[in-house]
Amino acid sequence: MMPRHRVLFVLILAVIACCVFGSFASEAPNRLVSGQPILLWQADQTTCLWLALLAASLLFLSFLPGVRGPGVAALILSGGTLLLLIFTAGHIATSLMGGGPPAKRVSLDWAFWASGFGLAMIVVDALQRLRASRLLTFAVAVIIIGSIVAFAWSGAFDSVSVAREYAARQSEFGAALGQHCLLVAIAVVLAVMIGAPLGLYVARRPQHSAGIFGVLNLLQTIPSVALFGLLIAPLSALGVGGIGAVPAIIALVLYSLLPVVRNTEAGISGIESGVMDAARGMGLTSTQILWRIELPLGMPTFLAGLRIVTVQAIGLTIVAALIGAGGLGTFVFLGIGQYATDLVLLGALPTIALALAADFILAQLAAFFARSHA
Amino acid sequence: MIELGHVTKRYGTRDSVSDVSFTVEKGAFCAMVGPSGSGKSTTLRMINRLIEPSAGSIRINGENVTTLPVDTLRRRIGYAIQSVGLFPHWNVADNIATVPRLLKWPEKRVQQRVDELVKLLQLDPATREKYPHQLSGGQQQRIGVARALAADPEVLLMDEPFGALDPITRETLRGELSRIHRSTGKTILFVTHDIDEALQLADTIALLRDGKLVQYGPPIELLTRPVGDFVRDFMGGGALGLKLLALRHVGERAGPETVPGEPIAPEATLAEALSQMVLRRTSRLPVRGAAGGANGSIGLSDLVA
Repeated sequence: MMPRHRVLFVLILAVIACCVFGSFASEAPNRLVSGQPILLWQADQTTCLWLALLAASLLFLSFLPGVRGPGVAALILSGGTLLLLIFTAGHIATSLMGGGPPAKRVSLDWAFWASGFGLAMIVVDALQRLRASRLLTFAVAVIIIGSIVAFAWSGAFDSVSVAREYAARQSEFGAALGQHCLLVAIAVVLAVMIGAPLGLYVARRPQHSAGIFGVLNLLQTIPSVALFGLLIAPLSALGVGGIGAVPAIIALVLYSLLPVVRNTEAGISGIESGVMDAARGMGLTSTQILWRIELPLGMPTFLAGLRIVTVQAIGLTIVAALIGAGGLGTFVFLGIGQYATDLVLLGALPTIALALAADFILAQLAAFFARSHA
Repeated sequence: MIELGHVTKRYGTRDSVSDVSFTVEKGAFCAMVGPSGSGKSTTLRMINRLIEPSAGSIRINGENVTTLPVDTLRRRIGYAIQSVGLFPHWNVADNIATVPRLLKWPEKRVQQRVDELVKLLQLDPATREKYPHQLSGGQQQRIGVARALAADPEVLLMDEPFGALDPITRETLRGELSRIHRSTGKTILFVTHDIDEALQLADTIALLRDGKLVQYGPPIELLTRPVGDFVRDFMGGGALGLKLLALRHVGERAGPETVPGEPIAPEATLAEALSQMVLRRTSRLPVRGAAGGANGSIGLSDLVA
């Protein structure tokens, strides 16, 4: 018998395989030595049973015909399984730590991350199959993320190694997160302030587009570490200082320019020529055309560019820590230097969360603008 | 009134429009016709200065268009184009209100004017709140015409406004435009490459070829006294006689003799009368009460008189 819904079938099989055979957590006497792998069923048999039951139901669902019923069931079951998995992870960590020495580390291993990712994919897939409205998607995201935050708040994850690293560096973490966001915000604002007018200029004078896009494309091809390095000499010569926040922001702005310029230009050149002809023919001044026609009509494309740039800058700012700009990259490079995976995760996980959040918010904004004149 | 005097548009060494002069009288409906590339759109776009002429003068009601600030000039001229160009992020009412708002009319007057135009173009009042993408092509062009008329402009420039519509919608909108022209008395300059459209709507025709004005005058003159083979061929060649019949109405030729059968209207063209005769296999048709009110008839020989 063939499964009706193969995506769900494959994903749930993968999740089950990870949970059965993969190392779910690892236990080490301190954070420097590599840990002993621990399988899920070794750690917590009761929850294991529940998880198995839920997984089996999802597997069964993949054989059911129809869209709506199985879709809703898959959404609820996969969401529930995901939350149970996350809660279990915290629970396992707590019981393994059990009063051991404070240097002892229990970290979550690849089977946890992989099966969590798989379950999240099932949730997304179910939402897509149901053609869920924006509101439902948003509600599901709020429920899942809210529950995870609530678990964390109640101390369910306090024994997990990442959380222990966090507890040890709470104030540093807050400062780094703030710095990270500030670097990204300054870079994106500057990129828009420079890139949007440049995009407008290119849209008005297409004969100059080849030259401007050539330079911007070239900038994009320079590896980020190299660009940070390249800026050190000229900036030191100017007396600004080759390391710290200034070169980081300059590099981030340079990387952000191409998408901003390209999307601004595309948004404006994409306006139907009849619209522009009518606007001019009826006597709108060029300023009126810019504010009333070009900007509102180009906005969805511009916002798509802003989305790319923001997500890209959130990731690139990690590298900026190399030249002493601060931000979450500090933990990543500190962790790499110390062979402390948990410290790397302490920097990487919030970065991913930031990027996903920025992506989600800007996508909603773009959809809102696009809908107002479909 | 639109006066063109020796208007020329030069691109490089080539004249796209060359030494064109003609006058569209106040309240006239002039159709500019010609094959593609004859310079008719360029000529039209020089009047509201979307294209600046290289030489010559253009006057609207005696005023040289180059002496006015370009935006002021354009707000005084209605402009409708084939691609309509409604603003997709504005609803119908806001689209129609474009020029009145540019002219800073009080909002109450703007709304009144939108109401008037919705009535004039026979639009469903519910369309006021709709967005362009919710409308059919024909409805969109109605809005386009309403928008062009919104600020009660002295002249109306139309660049193949019905070119992208299906034949039935096109026919309906031609009728509407004809009615609007009669009721408002606007001076209209209308570009088309469709000679039948020109004959149906216009009281004067300007025929262009390769950027030059070949002949200018009432339709009947271009049909009966074409200046050369190009005009004759363009006006219809072998079907010239039928085009002539399309210009005259049954009421002008009907006689008092009565015959049985379904009568045709006196407003019908002679071409329609001929068509009916062929269909009914008869040489005489009954005509419904013409000017005098009494029924009459029209015979085949009346058509050629």
